[in-house]
Amino acid sequence: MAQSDLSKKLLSPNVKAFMGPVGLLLLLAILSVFAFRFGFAKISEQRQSVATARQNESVLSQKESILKDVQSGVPSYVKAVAAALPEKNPSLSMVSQLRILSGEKGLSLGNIKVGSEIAAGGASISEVDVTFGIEGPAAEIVSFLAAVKDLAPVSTIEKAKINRSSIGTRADITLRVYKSEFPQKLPSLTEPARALTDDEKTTLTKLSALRLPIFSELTPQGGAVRENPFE
Amino acid sequence: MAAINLLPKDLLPSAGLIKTAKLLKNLLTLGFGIFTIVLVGLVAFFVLNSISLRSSTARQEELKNSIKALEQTEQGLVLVKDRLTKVKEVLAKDSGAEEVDNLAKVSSLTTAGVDLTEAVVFKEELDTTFNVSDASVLTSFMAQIIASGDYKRIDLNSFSFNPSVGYLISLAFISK
Repeated sequence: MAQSDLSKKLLSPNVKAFMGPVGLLLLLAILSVFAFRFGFAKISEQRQSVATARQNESVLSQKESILKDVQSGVPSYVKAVAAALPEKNPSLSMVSQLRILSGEKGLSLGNIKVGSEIAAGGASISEVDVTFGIEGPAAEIVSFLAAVKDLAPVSTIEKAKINRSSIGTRADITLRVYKSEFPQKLPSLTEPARALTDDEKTTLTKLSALRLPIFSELTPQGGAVRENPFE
Repeated sequence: MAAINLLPKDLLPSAGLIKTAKLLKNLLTLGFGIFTIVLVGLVAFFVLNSISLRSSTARQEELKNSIKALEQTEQGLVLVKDRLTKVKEVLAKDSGAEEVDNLAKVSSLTTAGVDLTEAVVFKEELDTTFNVSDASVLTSFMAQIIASGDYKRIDLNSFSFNPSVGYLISLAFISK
């Protein structure tokens, strides 16, 4: 009996009139908090993904455009730079270049010595000294020395001593040639590509003007029938 | 016919409360309306972002395939860039090439009566020895060298005279 009175008091008409709207208001508040918290978090996460995707797309698009731009020129650039700074010991190709040049200038080349490979500081560059002597007219020797800088592989003149005597003119020259390992890895697909800068293009033009070493390829000969020396 | 309310008065909520409850109901309707609009907006935004993300991903795949097809060009470009950096380093090293150019210039200044007997090209210096037949030739030769203005400094290392060959002068040309 007492309980029924209490519930009657609690659920008085005033309370009843408020219960519906207040309950719905609470429901709306809870729904709003959950929906907006979840929704905004999801959307912000998605916007970040869209931004990253657009950035990647822009990097890839730029990379594709750079690669398409240089596509036609790259084979000749590679030839020029690989000859200027080869991967393997360049002393042999340098000696060949010196032989050709000395022949053109009417000089006699001799006493060729090739030093051992030395690591040149950082940057994975190694150097090799090539020492040789040349004989001939003094003017041609000077012209020969001046032409050395136009040869590939790139070299530096370490020392040149020219002596003129009654017999003729002789020069003892030490050149230094360089080599460096080729890069082994390609950058990742999404890493931006860098186009050639003006400075690099200038260096490339210089290197393209260098005289490339001539390599001849020997074709394998078919085995000949040997005569039997005991018959 | 007039409406008759037979409920006892204490069972009815007060008039003020009924007004407040009505106001709350109106607020609720407005709140639900706003909630629905915002929710629809969020869903629309989410859908639009999803479409954009999907199209961007598809374009990326397309670009990746195109870049893979250009792999040889990329390899070449990486090699060219690597070589250029290293060649620049090599070209920045001291070399006697400039001194050789100086030697060519000095040689071109020699006239009859002036003989270049010895030249040593170092990375930063060119040492030369000349044999000059007489004083007048020597004067004009020296004047020509000075007039050329190609050198930062010219050192006279030795100067001697021998009646049988003439003047022997050793000059060091420094241009760096």
